[in-house]
Order: sequence, then C-alpha cells, then structure tokens
Amino acid sequence: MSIGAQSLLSGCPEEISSKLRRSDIGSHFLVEYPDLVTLRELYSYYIKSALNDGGEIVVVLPFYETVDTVRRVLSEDPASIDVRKYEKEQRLLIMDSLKGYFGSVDGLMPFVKQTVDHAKSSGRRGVTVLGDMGSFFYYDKEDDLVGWEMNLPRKFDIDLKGFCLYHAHDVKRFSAEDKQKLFQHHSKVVHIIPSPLAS
Amino acid sequence: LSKSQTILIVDDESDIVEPMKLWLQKKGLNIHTFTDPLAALEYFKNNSNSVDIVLSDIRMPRMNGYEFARRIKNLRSEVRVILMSAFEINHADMARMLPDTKIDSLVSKPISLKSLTKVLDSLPM
Repeated sequence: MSIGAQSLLSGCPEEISSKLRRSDIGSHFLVEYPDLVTLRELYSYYIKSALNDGGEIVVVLPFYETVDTVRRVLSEDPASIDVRKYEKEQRLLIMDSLKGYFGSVDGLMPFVKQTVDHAKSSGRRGVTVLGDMGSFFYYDKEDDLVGWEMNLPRKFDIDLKGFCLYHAHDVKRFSAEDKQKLFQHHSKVVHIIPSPLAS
Repeated sequence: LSKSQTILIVDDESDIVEPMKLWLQKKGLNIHTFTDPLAALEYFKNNSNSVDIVLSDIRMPRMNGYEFARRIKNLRSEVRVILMSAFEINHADMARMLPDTKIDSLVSKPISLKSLTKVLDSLPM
C-alpha cells in the first residue's frame, strides 16, 4: 500500500527517538511498534531527552503495560530518570490509556489542551503526548478510533507533538481502506525496528 | 492437578510465559505457550480435546483476553479458563464482554509461580 515515501520513517528506537525529538512542534505522527520491548526503548530515549534537555512536559498513555511498569522502565537504563521528581513537578504525566481516552465524556483533548496551557504559563517548551491506541481495540472501537484520528488535525496549531502509538498486531485489525485513511491523515508514519541487541 | 494435564498459556509478553512454562513443565505438566492469541486460538481449534486448562492475559494486541476466552468456551465449554491481568480487573467490562461465559478463575499479575500452582490446584475438576 502506498502512503507516500516522503511521509515514512523507519529505524531502531534510538534513531527514531532522535527524529521524533527533532520533529516540528505540531507534529502528529502514527508510530507503529512491533513489541513492548521496542516501545519501551523508544519512549525511554525520547522521554529522557525531552525532560532533561528539552524542558518539555510529557504525557504517556500506556495500554499494554501498567503505569507502574512505565515508571519502573523509566527509572532504569537507558532512561534512568528520577520519575518521582518529574511527576511531582507535573512534567511527566503517566495515565492508563483506557482512563485517558475513555475516562471522561469529552475524551482526552481537553486535558491535553489544559496541559499545553500549563506548559506555556510555566515557561515550558511544549507538550508531547505518547498515547497507545490499544484501548480503542480493547473495546472493539476501531471505527471510533478512525473517527477520533480524523477529527484531529494533520498538524496541531498548539505547542503539542502527538505521537499515536499502534502495536503492529492492532494495525492488522484495520481494513485496507481505514489503514490507508489513517496513514494519510498523519503527517508521518513511523515504523520502529527492534534494536539488534534487544533481548 | 494431575501430571498428565495440558495447559495452554497465552500472554503477549514472552517474559511472562517462559518462566511459567519452565516451572509447570518441571511439575510434569504439558505446556503450550503463545504470545499471539490468534495463534493460540488456532492451536486450540485443532487440539481442543487435549487441552484441560487455558490461562490467558486480558490486555493483548489483536484480541483481548475476554474475546479469546469467549471463543475458547464456544469451542469447548468444559475447558477451564483462567484470566490474568496486571491491571485491576474491571468487572463491569468483564460482564459486558462476557455476558454468558463462565471464567473459572481470575489472577493478578505478577503472580509467583508457587501461587500459580495453588490457583491451578484449586480449579474444580
């Protein structure tokens, strides 16, 4: 399926993390990951850089792992960050994807916009949202997911980077038509390849 | 739990299924493990009469554990099904997704291998 070669990125987690870090404010990318080990590596590199060097606020919405697992992963190599400190400073917000996307009738965006406003007023550079879309599949809401994505802009006009995380097995659940629609709606589609040294 | 029993284990994380497999094999049980619920379902379709217990994670890509359990019970209602999760089990979700399917046990992850053995031992025959 052609999605336009200019919009496709692929690489190992560390490379992709650097590319995501260098992406423009407003980026809205679809990130397809092959397994949890690879995803953990990606967000570890990304979050470490965004918090330590970038002065950003990061919102993580895991689905196939718990909030506590994300905390543990981030406190270990390669991120090795002080998770408690960043959470206390409200620079790192980790929330179960089910609660994030389905916890309120208005969905996630009001919370994200509020966080972007908070970032601005507290002198931060912006907000990154790393949201696992697995919660939509859990509720068999593939159609709602396509609708949700299509309602988001291809590029955000606020200080936000949105990376929609899809497990490769979940991507297989889309019809060819929906998959193409989704891929074309994101400004880039990113495929993460497992690191050669990953166990 | 008799030594001749066969258990099918499915969890998307191989780090979870491998220790369970090794531990239960040491106990003399026949263990088949999968990280993909569709592959596990395919195996079960072809071998349903030889599987006594199914142990499945709930949050898995491709097919959640509720749907997997429902399909397993539809294929052979006598097989005993245990669902496991690292998350708090949402009973409302479970009732909605499994209105007519009986789950034999629910376990929280992480579970020690000794506790897992106790859960298996306590299943009704």
